[in-house]
Amino acid sequence: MNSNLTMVFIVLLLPWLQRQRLRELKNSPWDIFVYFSFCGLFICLLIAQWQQWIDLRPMEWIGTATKSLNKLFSPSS
Amino acid sequence: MSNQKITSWQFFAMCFGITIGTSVLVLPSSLAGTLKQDGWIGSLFTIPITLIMVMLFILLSRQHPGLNLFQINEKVLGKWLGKLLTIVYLFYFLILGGSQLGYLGNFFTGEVLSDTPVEAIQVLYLCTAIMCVRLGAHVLARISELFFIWIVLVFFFIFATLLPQAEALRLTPIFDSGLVPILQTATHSAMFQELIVMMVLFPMLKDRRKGERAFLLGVAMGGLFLTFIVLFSIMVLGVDQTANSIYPTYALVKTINLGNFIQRMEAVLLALWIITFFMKTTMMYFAMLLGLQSLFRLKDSLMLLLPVGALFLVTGWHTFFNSSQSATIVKEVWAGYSIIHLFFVPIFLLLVWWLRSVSAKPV
Repeated sequence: MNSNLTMVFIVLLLPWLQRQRLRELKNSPWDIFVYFSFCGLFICLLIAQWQQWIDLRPMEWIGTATKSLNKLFSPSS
Repeated sequence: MSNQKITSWQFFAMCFGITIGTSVLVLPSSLAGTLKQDGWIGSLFTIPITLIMVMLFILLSRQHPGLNLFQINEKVLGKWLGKLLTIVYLFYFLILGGSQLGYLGNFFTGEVLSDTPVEAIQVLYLCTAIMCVRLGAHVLARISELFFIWIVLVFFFIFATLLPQAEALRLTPIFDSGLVPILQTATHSAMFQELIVMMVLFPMLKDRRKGERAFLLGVAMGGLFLTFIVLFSIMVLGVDQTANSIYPTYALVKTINLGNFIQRMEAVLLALWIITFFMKTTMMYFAMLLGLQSLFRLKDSLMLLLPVGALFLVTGWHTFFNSSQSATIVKEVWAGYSIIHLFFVPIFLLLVWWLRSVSAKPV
């Protein structure tokens, strides 16, 4: 199975695995909201990568950004 | 997370371990590739440059005692700009932690456990980091304290057993590369000491003054050990083999053979590397959780323990593809990216703080 899809299932399992801790936080709805938003966004990202709607290559993004910055600040520009 | 304090000795051991971290395996190759036989001088020059950066971090934390890096961001730049800077640092720590997991998987599947799936190694490793983070920063501090003496002993043993094979002539001509290239390379390699992560632990120090000294000493000692590793790599393997190996230190330790009796010492190096690597990855993990807690003002950051672990794993898969790609990143990209977080942002924060304190003074 695709590793992204496997990870989607794992992330879906996380709230169940952490049910005790989440139960302890029932008086803090903001924490619960952040938790589920985090997991939800993560799942969306994994599905997008699995379906190849996006290409997650953070090192290449950093490389492009660094090179652009270098060009911007180099004396020849 | 636990509120137990960290002693300066533990902090020293942590700084030492994190300085050695991943650099022990890959640093000799990049230094020998650029400076040839002067690689060890480059490594030696890296120490003062790293210490200057550490002094910047110390100065920043002195202005804001009791606050960690993320809290300082918000205090100096205000709520929203501070949060933006926190996101920038969180991304940095995420990429660092992820790429370390990638490195680990690649190294193990390439050199040791060739038939094991890389994900299995990474998940198993991550589980230990999760356990440590769950128990608190003081546990990582105690682990560092416990293993410090073993790391030092293993290093001394490796150096002693390599001495018979070392050829000092391989280091000549000394200073052939010139001062400017050496300084450039030293600055480049200093950007691989991501010690700003230690600022996250500053509020947990028992004695801040002693902790600052421990920070400087730990980094200096770690840098010195790395210099010896580069020195021995060049003296034993030669410049070409050091520069062309992906993991020259591993190749170096493989050559140890004392009377056909003490051989295959690479397993010992591996154990040492796993320990220092564990310290570094776990620190990134701590930083991520504390950063998220500060960013979203959470009551309990530990609830994000498993989701952040999963995020590290996925980042590891998407940041590290193969050794040649990693070498390109190390050579061309990382230093430029890292210098922003390690040098420019701390200076900017200090400047903003100074300007604000000057303007707040009554005329």
